[in-house]
Amino acid sequence: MAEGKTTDSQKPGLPIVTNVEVFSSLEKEDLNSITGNVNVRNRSTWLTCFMQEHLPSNRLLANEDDMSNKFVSTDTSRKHKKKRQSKQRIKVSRSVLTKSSSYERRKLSKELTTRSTQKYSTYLPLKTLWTSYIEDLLQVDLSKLTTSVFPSLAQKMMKADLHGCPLRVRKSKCPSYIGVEGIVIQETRNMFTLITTGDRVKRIPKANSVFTTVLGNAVFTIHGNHFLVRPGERAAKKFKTKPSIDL
Amino acid sequence: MGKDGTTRYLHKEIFQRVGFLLQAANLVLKMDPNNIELCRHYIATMRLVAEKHVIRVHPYIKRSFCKKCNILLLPGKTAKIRSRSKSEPHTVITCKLCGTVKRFMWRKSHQLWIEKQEAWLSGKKS
Repeated sequence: MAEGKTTDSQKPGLPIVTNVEVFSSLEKEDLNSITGNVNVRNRSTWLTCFMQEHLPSNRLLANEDDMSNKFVSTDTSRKHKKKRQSKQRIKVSRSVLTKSSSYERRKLSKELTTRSTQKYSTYLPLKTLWTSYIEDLLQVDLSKLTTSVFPSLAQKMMKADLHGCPLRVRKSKCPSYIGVEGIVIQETRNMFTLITTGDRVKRIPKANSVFTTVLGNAVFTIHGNHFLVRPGERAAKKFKTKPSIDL
Repeated sequence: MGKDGTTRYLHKEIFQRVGFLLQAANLVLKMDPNNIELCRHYIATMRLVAEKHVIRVHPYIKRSFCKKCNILLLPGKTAKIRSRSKSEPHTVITCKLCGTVKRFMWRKSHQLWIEKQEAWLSGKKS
């Protein structure tokens, strides 16, 4: 029984000892197999061996022993992740917005691509609509004009909308624009888009040109240089009397 | 919109301009259905004018165009109108060009501001 006991007590101790021995021997063998040198067990050589074993061949430098310039940044992947997350967030917030961004608007817009197919006759109703609008706005009998009404008329015309108005270029720095006549179909900050009687769409810059429109017996002159505002903002703008340098 | 019963009409030109632009947008789209871009331009101008002068636009006008791409919503042409009653009966208006959705509930208790008595000044009743 006593013998049995001793053997019992030794048995659990035995495998631990053997494990350590096996481990140490394994380590030695492993290192030997890698380095091929039994005696040289320097730390640096072990590291180089480790590097050779585990790094891809293109990462290995010619001067292997110099460890000073070797950096492997571990946190790059994290940064990438963070960036991606932020981008996604922006996208989500944009899609929530009701107003479209300028980029989206540009993508949607086709511009006036159907320019060649536009016809003057399709815009004649717009012209009649505009004339009725302007008569309603001015509320003056245009056949009987007196000089006293002119300032108030001019003030009203400045605030009025010009889409559908028949315009004529009277003066311009560019000689080819002079004499162009047509209905305004679009007014932007710098341009009037006219459709001429010859079914052609012409874009004429406001700058450096003078336009005229005829209303009954009155002739209104628009100085393009003073009109360089978007049509929506023009209504809120206060016009100042500026001297215009003649062309 | 006068003060103390006076018949002054504030911002008359602006209201006229808004009305004209809406009519023009309608007309342009009616004359040539390809004039989508021009219609958008008119509606955008109309909105800008109304925004700059801080005027209260009638809900009828507000509901007639797409908030996102500024196109007039004409049923069958540029918009799709459906009635649904999944959770609560409502009308859905979808813009065919950009896919934006407007929903209007059929609540009987709901009343527009313009329909209420307090929206109208005491001097005017019409």
